[in-house]
Amino acid sequence: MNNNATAEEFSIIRECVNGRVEKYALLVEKYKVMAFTVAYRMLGDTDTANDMAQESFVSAYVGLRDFKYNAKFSSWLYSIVLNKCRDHLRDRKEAVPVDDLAEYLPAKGPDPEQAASSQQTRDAVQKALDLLPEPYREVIILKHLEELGYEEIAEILGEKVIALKVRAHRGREMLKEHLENMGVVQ
Amino acid sequence: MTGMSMRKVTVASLLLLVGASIAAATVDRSRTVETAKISQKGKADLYARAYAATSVGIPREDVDIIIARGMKRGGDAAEIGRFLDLCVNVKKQDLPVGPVLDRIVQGLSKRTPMTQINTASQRLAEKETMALPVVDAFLKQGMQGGKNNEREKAIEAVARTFEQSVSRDSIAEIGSAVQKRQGSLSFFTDAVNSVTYLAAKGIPGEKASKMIANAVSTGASEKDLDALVRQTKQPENDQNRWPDVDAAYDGHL
Amino acid sequence: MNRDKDREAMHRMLDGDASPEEQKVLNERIEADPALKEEFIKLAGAVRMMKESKRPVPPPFFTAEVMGKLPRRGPSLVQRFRDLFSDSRVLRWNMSTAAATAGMVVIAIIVVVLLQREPQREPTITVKMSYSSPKAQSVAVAGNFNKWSADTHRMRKQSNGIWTIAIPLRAGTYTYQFVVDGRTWIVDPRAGIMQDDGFGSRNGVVRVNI
Repeated sequence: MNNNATAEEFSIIRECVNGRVEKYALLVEKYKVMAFTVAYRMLGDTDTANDMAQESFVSAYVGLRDFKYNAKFSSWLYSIVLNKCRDHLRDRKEAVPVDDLAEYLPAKGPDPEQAASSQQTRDAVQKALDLLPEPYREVIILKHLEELGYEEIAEILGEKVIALKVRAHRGREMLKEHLENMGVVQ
Repeated sequence: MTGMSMRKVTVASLLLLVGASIAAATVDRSRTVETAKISQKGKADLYARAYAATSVGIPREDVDIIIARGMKRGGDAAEIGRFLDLCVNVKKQDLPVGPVLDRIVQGLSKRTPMTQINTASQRLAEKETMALPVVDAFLKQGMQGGKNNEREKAIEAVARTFEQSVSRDSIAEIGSAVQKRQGSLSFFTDAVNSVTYLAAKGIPGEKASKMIANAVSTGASEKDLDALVRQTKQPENDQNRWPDVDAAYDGHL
Repeated sequence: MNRDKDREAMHRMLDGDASPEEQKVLNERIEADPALKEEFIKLAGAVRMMKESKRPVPPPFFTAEVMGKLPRRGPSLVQRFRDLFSDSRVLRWNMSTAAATAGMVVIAIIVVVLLQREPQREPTITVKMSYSSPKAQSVAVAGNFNKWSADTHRMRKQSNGIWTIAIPLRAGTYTYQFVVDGRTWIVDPRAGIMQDDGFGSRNGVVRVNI
C-alpha cells in the first residue's frame, strides 16, 4: 500500500477516535472481503465466518484508541480475525503441538450439523484446508490466499519468519496430499 | 526439435505455470470487486449515511430497504444517499418521518423514476413543515389530543391536503369547525383526511375542503364523513385524471 | 540427487525466495526426473488452486450490521432529564399548576416509564380483498403494512378467475395497490376510499377500527 493510502487510513482512524464514528464504515467497506475470506477459510462455515468477521471489526474499533500508527491497520485486523478464529476453534478441539510433529494429525473442521446448516457448497480447497492443523492453515491462507510477505505474516502471527517458512513448506505438502487424494490435482 | 530447445520449451512452460498462477490470482482479485454501479467509496458513504440515519432513530428496516431496493433499481450512491439525508433532516426537524419513509419505499417498489421519488418525498417533507405550525396552533388553543402519534397523523393529514393545493385558510376553517364542537385532534385528522379522499375522486382540493368544513359544522360524525366520501361520485369531466383505473380494465399497463 | 534438497528448492521457489541460479538448476533437475516433475506440478498446482479459489462474498448488509454493533456515546442521563423537562409534550401532560421540583421529577419519571413500556399485543381484524382477472398469472397486494413488497402477500386464484386474500391487520389506516404479474401496479377497482400516492397514481385505503 502506498504512502497516500496509508496516510488516508491513519486520518480516518484519527477521526474515529475523535468521535466521528461514521467514518469507520470506510474501513469496514475496504476490508470486509478480506476479513470474511480469512474467517471463512479458517472456519469452513459462512455463518460463523460472518459473526467472527463482524466481531473482529467491532473489536478493532474498540481498540482504535490504542492503535499504533507505525503498523498497518490491515495487519492488525488480520491478527484480530485470526485470534477470534483460534478462540472459536479451541472450543471445537484441543490444540495440537505443531513444529515437532513427525506426522500430522488432521484437524477437525466444522461439525456435521454446522456443515449441513451452512448451506455452502464447500469447495475442494476448503475441504483440504479443513484437514490442515490450524497453525499451518493460517500460514497457507496468509501466504497463498492473501499473498502477504513473510515479514508481514511474522508481524501478524507474532512468530519468527524461519518458523513460518517451515510451516508453509509442510502446509503446502499437506495441501497437495489432500487435494491429490480428492483427485483434484493432476 | 533438438533436445536443447525441448528443454527450453519445458522450462519456459514451467515458468509460465508459476507465472500464470500469479497472473491468475491477480485477475481473480479484480473479479471479486462487485460489479455494481456503486463504487467502493460510494458504498462506504452510503453505509455511513445509513448509520447516521439509524442514529437519529430511523428504523433499521426502512434504511435497509431503501438501500437494497435503491441498489436493485440501479441507483447510484448519491441518489440513494439523498433519500437517507432527507429522512434524517425530517427527523431532526421533529417532523413525522414515517410518511416520508413510506413514500420513498413505495416509489422504489413501484419502480418510479428516482428523480420523481426524490421530488415527491421532498415535497411531502416541505408540506409537513408547513403543516406542523397549523396543528400545533390548534393544540395550543386547547384541541384535545396529541397522545401516541395523533400529532404526527394530524401533521401528515394536513401536509397531504397542502399537496392537493388546499390553502392554509381552508384547513383553519375545518379546524375551527372542529373546535366549535369541541372535537378532538383525531376527529380533526379524520376530517382533513376526508378532504384528500375526496380529492382522489377528482374533486378539486379547495372545493373538497369546503364540503368537509360544511359537513363538520353541520354536525357530521366520522361515520357521516365516511359516507359522504363514499357516496361522492367522480366528476364526469375528470375521468381521465386517473388513467390507472381505466387501464386496469383495458389491460394497457 | 537429494530429493529433500530438491523439495526444499521447490518450496523456496514457491516462496519467491529462489535466486535465478537456483531456479535454473531446479528446472534442470525437474526436467531430468519425471517423478520430481510430477511432484512439482502437483505442488505448484495446489498453490495455484489456493490462489484461484473463490473469495466468498460477505452478506449484503455486513457493513451496516457492523456499524450497528459499535458502541455509541449517547446523551448523559442528566441531559436526558433536561430534554424531558423542556419537552412541550411533558408540560401538556403536566396537571394544572407549576409543580415543585420534586413533582416535576415524578412526572418526568412517569413519562420515561410510559415511553419505555412494551406495546400490548393488539387485536386484529381480517381484511378480505379480491380482484377479478382470469388472465393474470399472479396477483399480489403491496401496501404500507408490508413495506410495499410485491412478494409477501400473494393472492390466490379461484376457479372463476377471481383472486382473493385475507390479511389480518391491527387498528390503523392502510394504503395499498395490487401488483399484477409482478410488474403492473394498479389501484383496487373496488376500493371505496382512495388517496393520491404522490406519484400520479392512487392507492386504495382501508381503515381498521377496533
